[in-house]
Amino acid sequence: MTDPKLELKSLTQEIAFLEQEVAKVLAPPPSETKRVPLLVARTLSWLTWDYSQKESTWVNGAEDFYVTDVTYAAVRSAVPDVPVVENGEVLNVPDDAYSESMCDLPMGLGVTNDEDANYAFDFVWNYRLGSTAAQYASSANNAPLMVDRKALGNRERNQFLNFGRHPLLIKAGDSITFSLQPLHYALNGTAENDLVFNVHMILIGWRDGKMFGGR
Amino acid sequence: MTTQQEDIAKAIESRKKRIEALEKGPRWRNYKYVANIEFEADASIRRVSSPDQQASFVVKKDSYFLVTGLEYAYTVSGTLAENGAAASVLIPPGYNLPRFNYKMRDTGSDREWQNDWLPSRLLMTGNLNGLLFRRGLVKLLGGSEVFVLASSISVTSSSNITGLAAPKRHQLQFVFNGVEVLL
Repeated sequence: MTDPKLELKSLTQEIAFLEQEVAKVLAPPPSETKRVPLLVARTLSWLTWDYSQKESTWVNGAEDFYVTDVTYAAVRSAVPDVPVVENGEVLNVPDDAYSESMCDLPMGLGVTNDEDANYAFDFVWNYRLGSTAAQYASSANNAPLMVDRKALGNRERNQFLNFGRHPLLIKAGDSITFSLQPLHYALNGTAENDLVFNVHMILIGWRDGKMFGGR
Repeated sequence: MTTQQEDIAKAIESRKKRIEALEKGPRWRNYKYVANIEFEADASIRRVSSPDQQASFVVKKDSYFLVTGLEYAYTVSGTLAENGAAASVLIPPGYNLPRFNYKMRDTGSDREWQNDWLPSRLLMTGNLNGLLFRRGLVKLLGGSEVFVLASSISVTSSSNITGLAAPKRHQLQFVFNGVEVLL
């Protein structure tokens, strides 16, 4: 009969061997071992009735950035009021209480309460890469073509703008510029004029972990 | 049998089970890691801010974790204004959910996951879906620690939402959904 201590030792060795084998099977391809997630956020802001097109540029660092998805978060808030304090009690609601999400509204954005149910906010967008000046969407001669907000997906249905098997590559040192054009709708002729609209454009993807694109 | 012999017999048995499991190959299962940020806030004003808060979780050894999404839930606990009983209320979407900015990093890559603070509106809860990652984008190795840092947290503490008396304890529960692979 085998000595139990020897049997224990051999079993331990067998476990170590099997664990190594399993780890080998699970090891990702070398190209994926250094992947680090990256979320890039750029914020663009408007006031009510401001129709000006806004742009925001982000410059990539020393690693290639592969973008798999693009989405957005839209938030509106009121211009801060001065709080009214009496006997240490704040009587009015400080204005950031008025901040609310606008992502989940089916028609336009911002029709969220009775107070300004006659007003809606929406936007169209585009982006271009710094190195090539290539627009995401363009008409003839690379002229920018603004795209509907809904192309960024429906958050309620788990949708982002997804590049599928062909992620957008923003090379090390390259830049991306978002262009957003707001749309303000007065459905009934009047609206509050002290709202701030913040649209956060979000890029989701990974860095390849190789400094300067592996050079 | 002496105690020592019994111990060896038990160790042999457990190792045999481990070998059996390993021979079947890696096991996959849906799993969630949770990081809780908790803070107390008085309800004397209707909106309160909290200082920066941090929470973390550690990925189990002998496994790795593929993150497929991130969302958060918001809970307020305290005593009921009516009868003083302890209560905890999960605030559904539609109410004024807390507003905050957040950042993430892990010790595996030892790097930030973002270029800038991200808005909480990217992490909705309930009927609006959370932040999703494509499979394979975020792979966390066993033993690495993942940190969530929340800043500029602003919560409404109006008692008409929850019926709770002050002081209240607020909890932001960050849920990392994904697939756990056990080696």
